[in-house]
Amino acid sequence: MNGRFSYFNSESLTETLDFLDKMAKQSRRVHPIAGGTGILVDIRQGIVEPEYLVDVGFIPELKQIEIANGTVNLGAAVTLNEVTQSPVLKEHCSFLVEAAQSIGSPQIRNRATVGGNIVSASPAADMVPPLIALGAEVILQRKGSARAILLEHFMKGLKLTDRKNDEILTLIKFQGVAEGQRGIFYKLGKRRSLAVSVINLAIVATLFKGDSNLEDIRIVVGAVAPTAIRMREAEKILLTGPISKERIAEAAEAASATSKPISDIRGSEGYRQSMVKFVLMEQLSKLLISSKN
Amino acid sequence: MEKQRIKIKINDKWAELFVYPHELLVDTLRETLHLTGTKKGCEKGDCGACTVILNGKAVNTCLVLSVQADGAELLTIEGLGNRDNLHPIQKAFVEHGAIQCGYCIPGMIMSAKALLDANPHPDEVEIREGLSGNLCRCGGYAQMIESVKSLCK
Repeated sequence: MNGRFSYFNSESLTETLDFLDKMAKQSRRVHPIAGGTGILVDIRQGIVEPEYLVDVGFIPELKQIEIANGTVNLGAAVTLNEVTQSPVLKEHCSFLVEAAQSIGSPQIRNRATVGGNIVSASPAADMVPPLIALGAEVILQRKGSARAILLEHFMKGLKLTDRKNDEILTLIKFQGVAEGQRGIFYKLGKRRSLAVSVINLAIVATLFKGDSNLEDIRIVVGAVAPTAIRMREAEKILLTGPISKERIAEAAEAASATSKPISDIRGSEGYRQSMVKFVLMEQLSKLLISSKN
Repeated sequence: MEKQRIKIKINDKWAELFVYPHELLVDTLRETLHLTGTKKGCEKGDCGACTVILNGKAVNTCLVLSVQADGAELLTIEGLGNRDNLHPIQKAFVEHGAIQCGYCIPGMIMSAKALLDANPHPDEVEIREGLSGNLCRCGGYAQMIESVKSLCK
């Protein structure tokens, strides 16, 4: 394959962070690798030229799927296949499991990781909208310290995150879908398997009991901007009064207007904007009107 | 660039190998071990021609570094059966006329094997899903799905 690089792996998080620290101080071009399904393609195409690949896929702390007091701790190196097989995740965020299931193929899902899907920072990354809709926080660790940042703020742009060279993404933390909450994920792709999303979206809605009003809603759409984006205008419209077909149409229109997609082989700008509107109308109706019956 | 020593259990036999850190598993299999049943297609994880079973899971060997497979257990098409002693999946493919040019077949069969190992009685949707990471440009999907179905009875 194109590109020559050295390879470092360790099962010890401390050792890995020490190595990253040393490399960062020497201004070396270091790149983390876990499943490798993204980075190895990028290297082959000459998009990235690392001197070192640091494998974080063998670190046990990054492989956990735990829940404590309603908070899910999802290790960054958990594979997408492990997500789809997890009873904990199926119970607490089934729409995130659906997002994982929609990615790539069995072979890809057996290698690709949640953290990899995030840090690759593709605008069409399928795990990102549901995680932002869940209000997820990501934990970054460097030698001697750790920090937490909202995933929404971590995603900075096309192939760009807030991760520094000496940091690794270790954990994703979020509250599972609570009682009275509903979450959905929708992906529009050209085919069922091995498809990069034309658009994707996730919604988490908190409903008032026995009322058609909403307490809270988060709508996140991917592949219509450099990163997945919260549709705040649409959320606001839905929260200002009783839910009706008209209000949903107004919200979907607002989300469509907020979308600034590019035209590429998967779809034109206009097609994507139209689809944001239609898919949102359909999904919001399903979530907020039909589920009431 | 120095080669690194790795040990892999391939088709039930341990092998000690020296590989470059940037070497892809598909190249080690084909060029070093001469296990050329595993095919190289798109080299970006789209076509599945290079599928093998790594620690019980189907993976694209064009997206695995050989150094990442250190200590792993690998099953390739050569470990499944041979000309005189075909594996039941291979036999089913032959009997159903599922093989045309044949290039995708080793990967397709390894995906079928991984599927049936995990789920011995898949329904048609599960079979389609299980084979969804493998492309066949001759277009013989219907026969392949029938082949796998015939093994689930």
